[in-house]
Amino acid sequence: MKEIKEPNKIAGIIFDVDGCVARGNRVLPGVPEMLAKIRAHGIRYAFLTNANARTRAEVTADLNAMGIPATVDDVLTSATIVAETACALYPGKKILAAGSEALSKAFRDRGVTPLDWDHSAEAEVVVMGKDPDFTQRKLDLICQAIWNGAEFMATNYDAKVPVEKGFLPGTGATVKAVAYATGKEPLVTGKPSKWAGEMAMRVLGIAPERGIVVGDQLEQDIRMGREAGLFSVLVLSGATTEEAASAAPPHLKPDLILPDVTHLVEWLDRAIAVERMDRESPYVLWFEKYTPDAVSRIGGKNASLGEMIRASIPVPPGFAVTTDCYKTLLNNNGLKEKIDSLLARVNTQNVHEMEEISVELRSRIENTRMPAEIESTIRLAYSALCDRVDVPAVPVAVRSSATAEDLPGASFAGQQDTFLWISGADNVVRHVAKCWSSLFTARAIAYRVEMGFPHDKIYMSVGVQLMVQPKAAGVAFTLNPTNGDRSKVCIDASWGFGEAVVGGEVTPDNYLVDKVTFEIVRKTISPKQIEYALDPETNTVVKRDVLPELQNAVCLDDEEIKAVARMARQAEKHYGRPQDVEWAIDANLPAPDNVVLLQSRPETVWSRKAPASGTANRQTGVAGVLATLLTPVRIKQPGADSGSTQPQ
Amino acid sequence: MTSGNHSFPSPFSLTTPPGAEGWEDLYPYYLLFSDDRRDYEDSSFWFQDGMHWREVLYPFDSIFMEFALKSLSQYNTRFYLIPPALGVDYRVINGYAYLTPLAITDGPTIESRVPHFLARAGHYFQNWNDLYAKWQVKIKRVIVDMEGLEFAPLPEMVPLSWVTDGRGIGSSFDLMSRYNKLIELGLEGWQFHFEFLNLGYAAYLDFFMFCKQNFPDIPDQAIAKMVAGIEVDLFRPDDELKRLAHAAVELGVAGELKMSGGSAEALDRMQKAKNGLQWLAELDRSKDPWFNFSSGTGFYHHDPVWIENLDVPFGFLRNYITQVEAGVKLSRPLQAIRDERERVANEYASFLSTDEDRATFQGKLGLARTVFPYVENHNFYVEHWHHSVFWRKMRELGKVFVAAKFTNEVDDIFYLRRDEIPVALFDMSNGWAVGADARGPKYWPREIARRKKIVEALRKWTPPPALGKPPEIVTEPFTIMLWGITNESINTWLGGLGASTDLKGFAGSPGTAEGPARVITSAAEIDQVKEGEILVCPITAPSWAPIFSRIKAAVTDIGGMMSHAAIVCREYGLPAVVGTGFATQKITTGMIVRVDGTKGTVAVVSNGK
Repeated sequence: MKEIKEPNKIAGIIFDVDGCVARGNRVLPGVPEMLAKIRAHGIRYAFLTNANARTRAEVTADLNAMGIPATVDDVLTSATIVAETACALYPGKKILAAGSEALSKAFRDRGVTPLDWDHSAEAEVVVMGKDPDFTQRKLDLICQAIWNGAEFMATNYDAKVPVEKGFLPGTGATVKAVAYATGKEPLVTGKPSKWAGEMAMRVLGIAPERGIVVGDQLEQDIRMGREAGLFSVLVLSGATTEEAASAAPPHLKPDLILPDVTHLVEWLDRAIAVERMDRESPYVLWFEKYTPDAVSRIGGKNASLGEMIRASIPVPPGFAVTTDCYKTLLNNNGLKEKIDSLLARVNTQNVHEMEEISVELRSRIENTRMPAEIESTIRLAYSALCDRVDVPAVPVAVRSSATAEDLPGASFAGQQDTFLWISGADNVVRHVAKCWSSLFTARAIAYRVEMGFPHDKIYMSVGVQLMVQPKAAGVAFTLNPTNGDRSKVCIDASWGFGEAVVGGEVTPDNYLVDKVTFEIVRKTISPKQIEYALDPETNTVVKRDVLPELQNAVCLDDEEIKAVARMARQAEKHYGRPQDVEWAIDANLPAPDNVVLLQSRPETVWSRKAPASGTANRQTGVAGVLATLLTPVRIKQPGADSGSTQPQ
Repeated sequence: MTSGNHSFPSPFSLTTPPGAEGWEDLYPYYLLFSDDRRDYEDSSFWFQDGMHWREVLYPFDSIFMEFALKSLSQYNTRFYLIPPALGVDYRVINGYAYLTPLAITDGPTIESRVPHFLARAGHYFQNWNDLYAKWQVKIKRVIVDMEGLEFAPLPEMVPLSWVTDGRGIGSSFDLMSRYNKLIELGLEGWQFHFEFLNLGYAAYLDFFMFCKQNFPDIPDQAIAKMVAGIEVDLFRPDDELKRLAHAAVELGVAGELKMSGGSAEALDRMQKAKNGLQWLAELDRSKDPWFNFSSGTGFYHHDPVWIENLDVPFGFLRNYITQVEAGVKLSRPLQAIRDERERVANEYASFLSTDEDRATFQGKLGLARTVFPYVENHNFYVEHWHHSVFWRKMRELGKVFVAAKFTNEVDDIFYLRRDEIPVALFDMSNGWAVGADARGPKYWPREIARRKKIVEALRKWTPPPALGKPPEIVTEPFTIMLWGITNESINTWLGGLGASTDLKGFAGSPGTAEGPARVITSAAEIDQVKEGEILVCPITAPSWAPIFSRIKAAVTDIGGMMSHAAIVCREYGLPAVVGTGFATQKITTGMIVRVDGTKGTVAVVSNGK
């Protein structure tokens, strides 16, 4: 889903009327309250309709009658739009307004007096709208003016309009007559043209990047919004179903879909809050916003994730709950004093007592009410993460990332807890607290005492990271493990989670990729019988049989193979030595973001070998050439060596 | 399994195709398999060199096969003393050329050649650029000398000035002496051809083997990419066409070239067009020497040469003009190619485990890059330029034969062996001198008619890819580098004798493509190739380059990683599988084939129609 860049700067919203704020002549529930809140935010709103036979005042009266608060200035008809456009495109030109009185009025409101029919021959621009008194004579005059060189514009080109009992001919019927006679097509400025969006914003005096359009029709409202460059919101309260919305072609794709307009304020508030949080909250930091000076606030583990993102290595998205949260918590409710006094009693020799103290400490931390601002910030960040992948209550890993005040890089790896498959904001908040408390496991306390780290100089940050739900996963070595060739990336891949590959429970597919040219040198496809997958019922990982038709199918396509190889190579470059990488192709993320790195460690087998040269012929120049010539190419007979490729 | 179980037919087991009886008369006695040398010939491995001599050899056209292989061999054997390799021997059977590389296996002999090799080859490697500069002078001198040879019918009387100047030598003597000079210049050109090439291939092979040893799965084309030159003379004729296409569009004369009709009509229109003369001046700049470019391998007298058949380059030119008009910039991005070459080399170097290895890599790469311009460029100078002048001069002599009624057609002269021509010339001189009828006009037309029937019968015969016993080792650098004779190719050929329709060859240029096949067996057919087809041919010639913008992939019967097809396909970024042995026999035009240029396989997907 597209995020709105600066939601706090939104200054104006254009609403469609029918299907959006009203149905027939009835206001939709909650609309007046919603509009009041929008206004309270200091945001201007307006209503845009393709109707042009009625004046703005008349439409305003209709809206007010339904209970929709609006002034004349808040209403834009296609007459308003066409007048604005004509004045912008043809300033000072003589205009023939061929339509209702409402159309002429729109021009007069704009300070332009249109020509009367007796002077139609002088027209430099002909503007057509719905004319209840259309006649053959008017048709003649309009065509004459166009034949004489006048520009041709129209409010809209609608063929027919729905009424209670069927249809009536629309503005388009007479416009078409003129187009047919003159062979000239009009410039149409109503919805869904870009003019409607642009001119509406101009009338309201708002820059397009600060405007939103809300409507119920893809072909009208969303198309106009996209063409005018406005953030476009589709509501499902009118003509468009959810299925149609999700199947929309790219040029009709809404930036946001809401059930109805009443959700608009909530969405806007949240977008503003997320944006503000990103900008100024000390409590969370997105991995990709990491900078090296943040290490002391997010701990080594989170920092390493941020560092990888900075090195363009794709790791699953997420955020760090900073040490500021932990510090704030301690300074609340006298928690710190209680902890200090409990810790003062610690005697590492007395294991039993230490265990009791640990339990007491942990339960105090977990049961202390989190300061409201911290809790709401964590919830907000989590919901933003869900939005990002478009999965509600998306499962995440909640990981401890401890840091020492004087040793910001210290990792304390493995000392504190990690929780996988945590789903829903309540659970996330609870497990963040559990990570904090894991700073006080008996083992962690003992470790600090032993290593001489003062307890009160150690802080806890927590990482909340998307759990990958892999379509396929595996490992990749940044060298060929069968011969140590460092110019290759060797990939093992199988269906589902990487556990099946790591644990040796399947014979994976094997791909060998050249690191320099990224050609796939060799592919070996193996039968892959089992996989680990997420059971949505229990939110746990289960082992199951691979569907028979997939067992012998290659589990990565060529682009994915190359993407994994590139990622492994990036990790190797970043760490400056051969790596052993765990990777996955996520089933939810869109390509190419779906190829993610889960873990990267130094490769140990070949890297530890003394750098042995594989080269017998080290001479250069003529001596080297001689040595090569003296190494004859032996011809093997068929059958002596099958030469087939075996999986490693 | 013993090697005896896997053999090709013995050369002595082949029979003469019906109607070709007496074919042996068409070639010199030493080119024939014979009982005199049967022990040696029957125990050797002979492969058909379809890369250069796919078609039946005309009696005269064996000349360049002989000159090429004699010269190649002479440098291995007598100049540089390649320690484990002598030359490449050659024979003709049923009109087709077969080659066998000769190895030295005896340790002491190899040993004794080493110091000589180091001194001699060492000198060339150390002074490569200076010697190469001299070479360019030498080869151009040969071409200029050849251009200077004139062949004209014998005159009614010698000019008066010969009498007044006391010249004392007759016209027929000039004719005979110039023929001899032409043959000498042909042989001179071929010696220069191999003066550098053997060592060039050996140095490339040294770098190649180093890469294969350290990066066992490195694609062949990645190695070639690190070494390949940036501005290559062999691509120059094609580059000139691109230049002329841009010039035509800029000068506003593209329309004159694009109209239907042949090149003669286009030149005519150009004479009259505004700016037309300017474009013609550009054409002249390109033509000499770059249109001395053969559409075939250059080894046959009938291979069309651009400069004499402007329809060929003008066809390509039209295609390029269409692209230029569509906004395509045809010139190659030289800086990008240069940068990519450095990137690939630096990255591979970084993957070696020791600094010592990196130094070795850089050293071998440096030498390979030093020798490579010659490897890439010599072909233009010898097979294209030198040959095209040679064949032109031979056709001048052919006209003399027609004028003397020795032959009916200009090209009939190529049905005479090169050793028969001096004899026929003396017959002609005799008649001229005596004033009586020479025997030639009675003798040669009848003999040529007989020979034409034999050649026709031989054409219908399909030569097996190899004869005799496969060798256990190959040490001759050409055999590996140019002809690609290795385990895989020999076993493929052996296996290819069976029925499977899938073909294996060398991964010449990476990528995959699927499409309808177009089987082309001679240069004359290349205009049949259509957009989106997969070219299947014995071997592509570099001058076919312009059709590479039309095809999807190329498959050849013969060729290694340095074969022309592989080089050109890599240049054009097309998948190519080379050295499949049988593609032109197993695939027919219209079949849908899938080419995997990364793996080196070709599969027939369906029979098409």
